[in-house]
Amino acid sequence: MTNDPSPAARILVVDDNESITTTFGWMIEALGHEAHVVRDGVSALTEARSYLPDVILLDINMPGMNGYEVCQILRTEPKLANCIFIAQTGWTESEHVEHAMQAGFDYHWAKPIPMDRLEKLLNSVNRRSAV
Amino acid sequence: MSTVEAKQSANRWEQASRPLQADASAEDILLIDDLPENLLVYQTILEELGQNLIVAHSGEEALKLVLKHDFAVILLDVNMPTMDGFETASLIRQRKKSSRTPIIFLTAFTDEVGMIQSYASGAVDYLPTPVIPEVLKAKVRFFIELSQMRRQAALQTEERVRRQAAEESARNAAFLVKVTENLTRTRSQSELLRALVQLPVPYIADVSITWLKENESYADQIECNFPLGTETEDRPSTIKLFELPWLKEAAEEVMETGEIHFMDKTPPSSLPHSNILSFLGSVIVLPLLVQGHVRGCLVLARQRSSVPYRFDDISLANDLAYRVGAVLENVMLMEKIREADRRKDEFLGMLAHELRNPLGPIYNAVHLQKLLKPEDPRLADLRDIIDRQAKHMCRLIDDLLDATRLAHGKILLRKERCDLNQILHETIGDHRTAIEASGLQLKVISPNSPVWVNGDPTRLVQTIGNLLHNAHKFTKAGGVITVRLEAKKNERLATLTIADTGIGIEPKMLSCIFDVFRQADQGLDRSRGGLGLGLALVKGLVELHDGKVEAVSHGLDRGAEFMIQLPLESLGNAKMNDVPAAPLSSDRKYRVLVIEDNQDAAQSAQMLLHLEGHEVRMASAALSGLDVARDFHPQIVICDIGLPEIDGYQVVRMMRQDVTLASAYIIALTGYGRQKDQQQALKAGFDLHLTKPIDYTNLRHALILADSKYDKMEATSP
Repeated sequence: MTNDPSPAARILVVDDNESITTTFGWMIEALGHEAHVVRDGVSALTEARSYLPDVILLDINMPGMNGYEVCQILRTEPKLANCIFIAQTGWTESEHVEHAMQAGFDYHWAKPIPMDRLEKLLNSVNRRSAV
Repeated sequence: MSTVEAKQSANRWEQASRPLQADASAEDILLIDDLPENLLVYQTILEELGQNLIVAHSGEEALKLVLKHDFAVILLDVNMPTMDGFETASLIRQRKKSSRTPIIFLTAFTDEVGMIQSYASGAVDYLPTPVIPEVLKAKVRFFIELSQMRRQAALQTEERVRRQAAEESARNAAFLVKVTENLTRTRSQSELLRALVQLPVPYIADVSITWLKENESYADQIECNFPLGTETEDRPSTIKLFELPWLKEAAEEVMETGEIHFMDKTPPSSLPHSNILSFLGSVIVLPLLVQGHVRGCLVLARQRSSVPYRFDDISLANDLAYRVGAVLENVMLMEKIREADRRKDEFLGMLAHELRNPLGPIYNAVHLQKLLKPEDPRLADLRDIIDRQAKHMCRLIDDLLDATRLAHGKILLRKERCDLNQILHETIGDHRTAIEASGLQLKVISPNSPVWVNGDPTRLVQTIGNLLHNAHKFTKAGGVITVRLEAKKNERLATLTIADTGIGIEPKMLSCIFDVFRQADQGLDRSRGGLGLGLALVKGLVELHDGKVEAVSHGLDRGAEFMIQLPLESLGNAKMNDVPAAPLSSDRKYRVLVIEDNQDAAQSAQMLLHLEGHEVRMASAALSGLDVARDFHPQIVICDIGLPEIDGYQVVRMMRQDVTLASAYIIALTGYGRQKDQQQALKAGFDLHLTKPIDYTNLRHALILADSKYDKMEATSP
């Protein structure tokens, strides 16, 4: 047992598709974690800096600032040094994966994201922050 | 002449250094004498030489013969009546053909005057008569050999000229082969141009210039090549084609007319002395033709100090240009294919992306349904999300199939007289809520009376819907979408414009905005999604309606306006008793058999049919389905095509052969909505072909069609 009052992982979901943000938000909560959602890149920058999530689930194709740019900027943020960045996108060619890795993502997941994979990751984050 | 004789004569004539050629064809010898006995003597003496001895009995006869033959030597009797030998000789000399033929005079007078006169009239020799046979033979033999040698020399000259021509033509052929070889390796028009400009120098030109006209994939491209050894600083660093007004003019004329232009000399140049173009002499400008159209031109030029172009060079240049045209056509075709291939690949990537996008929320929502408690109010939202996203996927797939059908000309319109005004308002009704929910204002301006057109209402709804969807998608909250319908009776046109205040269209995109896959070019900001097929479909469908569509935009962020024009239906064409509208719902209740191996699809169909009050039985395979059918006697059978063991086509054939089942209304259910699949299903014996997923709308549609079949059957039965 730890002293941390909230063992839940904090996840920031960024996607311009409202159906995505809504369902991810509810699902993450249903899995016992905490979620904040925003729907564009610029809001993601502000929200990430104040919310300090453990995981950022980031869409790539968004109007204005795209996911690669958001990731690149937030990667320089010392307070987010341990944050896990996941690119979630419909593009699955190797060049897209490469691009995501260069932008600083930890994972590149194709939509739709398998639930068990997300759940496993969130639980591992949970354990990590609990240690 | 026999071989032995030839050898003998060769020995005898060793002094003359060249033997008579045994294989040379016989020479013609003309013998002229008015006395037949003399002629006979000469003939006898000369016979053994084996030549053609031709005789003439008078000067007149001889003159006729010299016109026909090319004599090696002429023996001429001086003393003849009417025309004597001297006169005959000078007349023979006057004939061009015989002006140099050796003439030997035969005369009894060996005085000096006679000799002088005979030489003056053209003799090369003379013999006193009566002749000594050996002397006559020796002289004649000498002239035969002389003639043979002359012929031989002429033959050799001819041969040399021929060989030179053959060598030149071989060199030209090698040059053309090299050209073709080098050019066929190139993969783009610009590469071809760069390769081409290198080839004519120095073989056929001192300077070569190529110019490709601007086309859809390339801007104007000009390349220049100069002879080796030209100092680098003397080469024009940029293309100087247009620094020479006459050259520019000539090139433009060739581009215009497609005809070769040749200049023997070129006007003096005002260019600095160091510029190589200032030394140009003769110039050929050739069109590069692709399927009869001028794609560009090739300029070949020689310096003033070089030999000017001759006819042969022009012909070679023409050959060269022809070959370049053929290769250019191939390269253009290859570029087109590569471009289409690239676009297709891009499109496939985008298609996967666009299909994955709605799949995400559906997947999430389904999982959430498991996680949430049954009383959770959010379950209703989840259902809405699934509904919305599934519809979105269906629309993508429908668009994709429609685009394929359009591309293959397989969309068949069910045209009827219909009111475009009504269709417009129905379509707007479908979209208004969504548009207004995005914070957009929707203004509609339309006449109060019907606007009759001859069209397929479903396709017109799709067309207008696509344009509304497009305007919605590309306009931010606070914007306005204005829809205006007008019937221009004078022009017999219905005009529908849909204008928005959205992101607009770049001028360079305007021309290709209706192309399939075009939206793929928008790159990373695919936030608005879609396959980019909507406008291509609009164009295709409007054109199938004999109408046209135009897009107008004043640039980015300045909105866009799409205008559709359709021919108005004249009253004369209208049927007075229009077909009554199909009933909206079916009252009949049926025994329905669903044969489907996909449990989920089967269950959802069963639920929908139950709700409508029909009696439903299920089977998950073909054989069990046939068993159930024989027992249940269904009036409607819905049968999947891709069944295990026996496929749906087989099932329908077996049912049609069974008297108790033959009259059932049998519906094929497949995942493929292609025209081919539909035709195959109808051919196999199905009454109708439905594309999965089976939903409320298409099931209802199918039942109404079944009604009409049963109505007809009842009407015809006693």
